[in-house]
Amino acid sequence: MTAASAPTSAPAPGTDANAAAAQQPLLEIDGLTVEFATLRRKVKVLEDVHIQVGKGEIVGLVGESGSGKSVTAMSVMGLLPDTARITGGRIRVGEHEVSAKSKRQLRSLRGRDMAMIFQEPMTSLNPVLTVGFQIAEVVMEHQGAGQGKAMARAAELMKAVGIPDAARRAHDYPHQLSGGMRQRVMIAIAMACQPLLLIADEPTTALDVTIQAQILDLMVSLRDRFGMSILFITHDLGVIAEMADRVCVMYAGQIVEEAPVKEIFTAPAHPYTRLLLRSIPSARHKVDRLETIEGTTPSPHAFPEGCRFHPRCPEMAGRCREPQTFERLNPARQARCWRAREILARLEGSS
Amino acid sequence: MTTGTPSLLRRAAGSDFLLRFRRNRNAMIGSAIVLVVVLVAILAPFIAPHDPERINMLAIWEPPGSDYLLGTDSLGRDVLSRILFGAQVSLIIAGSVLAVTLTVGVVLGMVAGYFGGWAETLIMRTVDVIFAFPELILAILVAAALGTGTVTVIIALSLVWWPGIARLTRSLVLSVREEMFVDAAIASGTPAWKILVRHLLPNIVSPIIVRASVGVGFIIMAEATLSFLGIGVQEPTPTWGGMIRDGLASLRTDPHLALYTSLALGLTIIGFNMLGDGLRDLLDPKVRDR
Amino acid sequence: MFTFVVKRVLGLIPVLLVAITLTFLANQMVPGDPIQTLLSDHSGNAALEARLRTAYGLDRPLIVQFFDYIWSILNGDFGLSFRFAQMPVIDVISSSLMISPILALSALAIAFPLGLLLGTLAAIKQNSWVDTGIILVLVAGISIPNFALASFLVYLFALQLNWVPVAGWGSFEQAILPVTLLIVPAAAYIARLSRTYMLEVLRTDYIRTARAKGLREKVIIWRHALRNTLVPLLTTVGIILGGLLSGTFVVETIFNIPGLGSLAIQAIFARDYPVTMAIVLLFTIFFAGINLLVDLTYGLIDPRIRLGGNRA
Repeated sequence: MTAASAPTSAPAPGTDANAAAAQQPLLEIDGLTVEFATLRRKVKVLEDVHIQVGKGEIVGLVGESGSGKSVTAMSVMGLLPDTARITGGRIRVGEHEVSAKSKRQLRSLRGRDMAMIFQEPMTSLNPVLTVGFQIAEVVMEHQGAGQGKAMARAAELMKAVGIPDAARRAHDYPHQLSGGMRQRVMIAIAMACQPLLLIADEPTTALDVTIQAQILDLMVSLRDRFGMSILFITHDLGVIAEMADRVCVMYAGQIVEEAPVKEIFTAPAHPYTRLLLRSIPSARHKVDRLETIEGTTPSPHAFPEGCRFHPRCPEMAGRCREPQTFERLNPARQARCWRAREILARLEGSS
Repeated sequence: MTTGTPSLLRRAAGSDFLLRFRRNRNAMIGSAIVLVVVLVAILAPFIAPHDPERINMLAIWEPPGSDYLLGTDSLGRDVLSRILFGAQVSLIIAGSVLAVTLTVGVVLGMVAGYFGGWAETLIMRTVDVIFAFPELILAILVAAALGTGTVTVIIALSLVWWPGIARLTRSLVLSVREEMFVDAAIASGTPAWKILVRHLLPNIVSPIIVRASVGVGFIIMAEATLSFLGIGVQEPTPTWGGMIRDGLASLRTDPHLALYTSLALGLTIIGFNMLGDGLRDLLDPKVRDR
Repeated sequence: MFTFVVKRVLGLIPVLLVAITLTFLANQMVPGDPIQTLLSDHSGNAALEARLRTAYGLDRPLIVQFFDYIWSILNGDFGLSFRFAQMPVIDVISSSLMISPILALSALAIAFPLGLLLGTLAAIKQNSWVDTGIILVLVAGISIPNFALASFLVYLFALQLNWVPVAGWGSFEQAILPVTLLIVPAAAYIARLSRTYMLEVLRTDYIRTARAKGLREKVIIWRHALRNTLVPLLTTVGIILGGLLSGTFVVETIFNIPGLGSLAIQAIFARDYPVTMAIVLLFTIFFAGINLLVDLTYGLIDPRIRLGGNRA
């Protein structure tokens, strides 16, 4: 079933997140649980993950390294290694039940309906093939185009992502391009068949700050033009503030908070989110020392009982050792903490 | 097959070594075979049914039977006993070559890597020149020059192998030398040799062990080849290579000498190579996290 | 590119010089006087001895002999054989000259693609029964020495089954066993390397990108992975060829093939140093030449080397 009343042009950026969420979301990850088989036993790396991305929405997935963000992305794309297994929940992209599909069916979806770009532009392109060809491949595979036509389309795409002198550079090899240019090529590859969903896994982390801004602008403008949804994975809250419509915060393999971007920044409800925000240097209030969060992220081999954050949580109290469920705080946000309402009320009371 | 293990699942290797060793088929089978061969080599004088060098012209080319379990050769010598003692010969030579090669190679490699300058140039140019020759041909050349015999074989093979160890050691030293703890040791006035032995050596030992274990099999094969060609260990000492040469000449009428000796030689080298492969899988950090 | 070639060719010279020096010294160091060996029955005859020494130039100072040797080699004159009295070395080895390189190169031509395919197959099906089976075969392939394998193969195929002739050289059938013996260790070595490289390549980010694009597995292997595996594999061709050349020594001896390898062995035993030296030298030149060729080809295949880096 497609989103029936979706407008053909994308919603303007900054649209009311509630309205977008009300239509059937394009990407729906529901209760996703993923296990890895390690040397000694099976380990649950993701547990009960819920994420939704509406059509034309940009949703940020935030968390520290090791929280499971990339594994989530790989699960959607069907790129999990053979040692991993989805043991619970479902994933839906558009009208496709991704979690129920065979490997072959998934393959035909990848690059066509859903695309992904990665963190390391330096190593993500094949060094022995021209960049133009690597873009053209997608078109040749999914749209059956011949090489000539596909290369022409590749040059067009390179132009669309802002690579100067595109027709000539299509015959360059990756090592002849800078990091920012390579990432643009990756975006061109992703956009080649105008996918419904783009997953971006830390696409700007390895780039210079100025280039970062350009790439982010590019992605937003492509969203505006083509109405595609973006799941933007990062540990950088600053980027989230710029780009995202909504945010999902991930910790230790679980989603701990989900809210529109403005609300996350002004009134974070989950203690982890609050601490994350406090550890960013702010231009607004001076501090003598940057705050850090005590302790380290737990490994999947030894997740704490109940709330996985409780050993490090300043708000830790009685029920924290029991498994936590989502508290719905308003139609557009929820948090996995039994004290969330209380914390929120405290915040709103003091503002 | 699609992506690697996520970073959150990697853990320290130390505690798992025995577990991973037991799971590694190469290491297990290889070490079993090597153990058998080493035991045979050590116990040969006690378990061999006959004197390997005793000639008995009345019993030449006996087929395998109750007296001579694997038959006899052209001089009536018991094949089984010769195979057992041949293990001893092979391992002694391989061990000697390994000892010489590791000593010379590691020392020269460390000198070249740590001190640099003319010492490094001299050593590495020598290494380059030796590398320019195909291994076996160089060994044959040296053996031809020095005459045949066990000592020659050891010298020839050591000459051919030490450059590989030296080159590896030097590049390891170069990478470890930049580490901070070396600077700290220098700053606190530690003498050079102490730095080399106490600080550098423990950190570079692992890849060298891997290289050595992978190389033992080939050293055994090289010695056997030299003996097969007649320029290695000489009669009457039993050597598997020489025995196969004798055996091949009579393959039509009395295949047992060549076939059984070839089996012993082949299995031995397979064992060492499997052990070497297994150790590499276990110790090489690049291969480890999968 | 041009400077690269020139530098590499110039780099060959010291190696060749060393080869010549080594063989010359080896000659000098061997115990036993070649002239005495030649004289054998006539050893008392001083006049004959003096004449022989002069004829072979052995009465001159060592240094002079050395430079004279180098000079003659540059002129293609390797001197006279000791074994075949008064016969120029060139004549002794000319009929064998082509045989060993032919053996080695034809074995390489078959071993390379065979090994590459086997290794790739094992890598694709990593940890399956196919992979395990192939790995076992490969370990055996590089471990069993060619002369040991020869015992089994000759016994089974030549003597028992009579499918191929036992020895000799000249017909196609006679070449089967010798070339096979050369191919086995080379193909096994290449296959092991291919498997390792392919496994590494399959773990790279660009292969992850290729999968994310939804390309078919076959396309990924053939178009993306294989080419990147070839690149490091080619650098080992030199080593493999060295092994093949060494292999010809053994194989020619077993099957009575009149190539340079068996000739060299015979020369060593007969203390025919001019011949030994000439053959070793030729092998070294051949070996170095192929290595140079491979280095040049490497530049052609890897665009990073061919084009250099120029960032924009």
